[in-house]
Amino acid sequence: MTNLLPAALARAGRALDAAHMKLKKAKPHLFGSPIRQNMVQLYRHDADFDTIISIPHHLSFLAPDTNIDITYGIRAFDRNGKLVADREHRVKHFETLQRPISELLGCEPDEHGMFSIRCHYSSPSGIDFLGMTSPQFMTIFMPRSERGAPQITHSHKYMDRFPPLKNAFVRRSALLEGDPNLTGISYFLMNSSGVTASAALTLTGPSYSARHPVTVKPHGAARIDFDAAGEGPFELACEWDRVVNHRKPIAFRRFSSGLVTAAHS
Amino acid sequence: MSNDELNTVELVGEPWSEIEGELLYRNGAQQVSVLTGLVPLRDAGFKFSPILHQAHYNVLLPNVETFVVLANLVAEGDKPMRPNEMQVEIRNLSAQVLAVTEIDAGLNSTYLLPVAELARSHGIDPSQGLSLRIRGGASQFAVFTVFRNLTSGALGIEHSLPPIYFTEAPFNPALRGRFQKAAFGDLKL
Repeated sequence: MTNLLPAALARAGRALDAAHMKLKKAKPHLFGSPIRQNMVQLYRHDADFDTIISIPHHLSFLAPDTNIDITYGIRAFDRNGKLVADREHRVKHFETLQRPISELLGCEPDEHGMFSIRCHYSSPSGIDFLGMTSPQFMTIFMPRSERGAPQITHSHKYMDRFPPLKNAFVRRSALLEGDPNLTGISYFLMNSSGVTASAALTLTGPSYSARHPVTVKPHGAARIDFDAAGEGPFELACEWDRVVNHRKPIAFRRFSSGLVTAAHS
Repeated sequence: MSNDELNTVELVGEPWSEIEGELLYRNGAQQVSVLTGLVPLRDAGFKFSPILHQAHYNVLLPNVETFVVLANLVAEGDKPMRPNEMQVEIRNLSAQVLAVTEIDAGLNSTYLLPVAELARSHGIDPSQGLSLRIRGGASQFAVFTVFRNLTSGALGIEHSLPPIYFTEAPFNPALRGRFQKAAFGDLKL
């Protein structure tokens, strides 16, 4: 019974969203273009990495014969979910918006946190055949070390539109970790919802296992460091007390060579 | 297999509609991996549509190269009539077209496209920031981007976001035809 209400609310939310998009598709001049947006991702702005956000003018390659300006909105939060900045950038046909996050925000963000991307079009004309569109982007983690390589992850789930009610679940990642030179893994969790959520990360391997609980404030982010070392294999399970949209912690692995690599879990 | 050989691997198993896999590479100094859906091996006679990859996320520094990795697969003994050619359009971040060239990805192979090297071969300074539009091909592609520190050998990798992430049109029968015409109508290979 406890799972029925959240499931029913989630279904109602999806139905409302679908109806809203249907209206936009039918009358984009009246209700705006049908855009699924506010996708989230992690930024790092600490001693090890800075973040570059790369956003293509997506209508250019989907509908090359149009000439529509896109205004992208970038909203960043600190690790406690406090809004750092909300800035807009107008991008023209076939231009690319690719800059460090501090330049895009016009200020220095926290050491790590979550950001989201939204957009609107200068005109809805000539793109009806695209149906619903989405401003996807790439996040590039630039190493401070001269020896490192940029790490990259694609845009992830949308920010929750409705507060997810309590409904515990576990997501097990398909990503297996382990290497003879592995010295540790840092995971970054994001709370894509507007309510406080509790999570626990469990990393399980033959020589090392650990469980770290954490509470993440609305729109906040958390870093959890594991001392996992060696071949493993290590398996990650992420337990949430709410069905938040974003469920893929970002892993940063540290090696004895001094190199660090990242992947979404 | 030699150290610098690139291979396309076919996994044989149940005809599942979708498989997510971890591709993992390691060389003693690092391990890099990516979680991604795997592309299906199509039935004989499958008519492949051209692909579209917008490679906007290039890091082009004196010690960092960006590679677009184009792995492709087509059923053996069922080669498409047209070659596996692709048009590569190079623009700066301000949308100016700097060069248009072509590559032949070959069939059942992995083509490594070094972005800065390609730019320099056309007299273009890669440090200004570049965006590539890659279109064409006649097979099933999996596209990745790899960053490589040319000094240390450090790597970063991610799978691409094909057009279906940006628009519902490719999978919507009512929209697909107009989308294909808009995206590829001017493409001549």
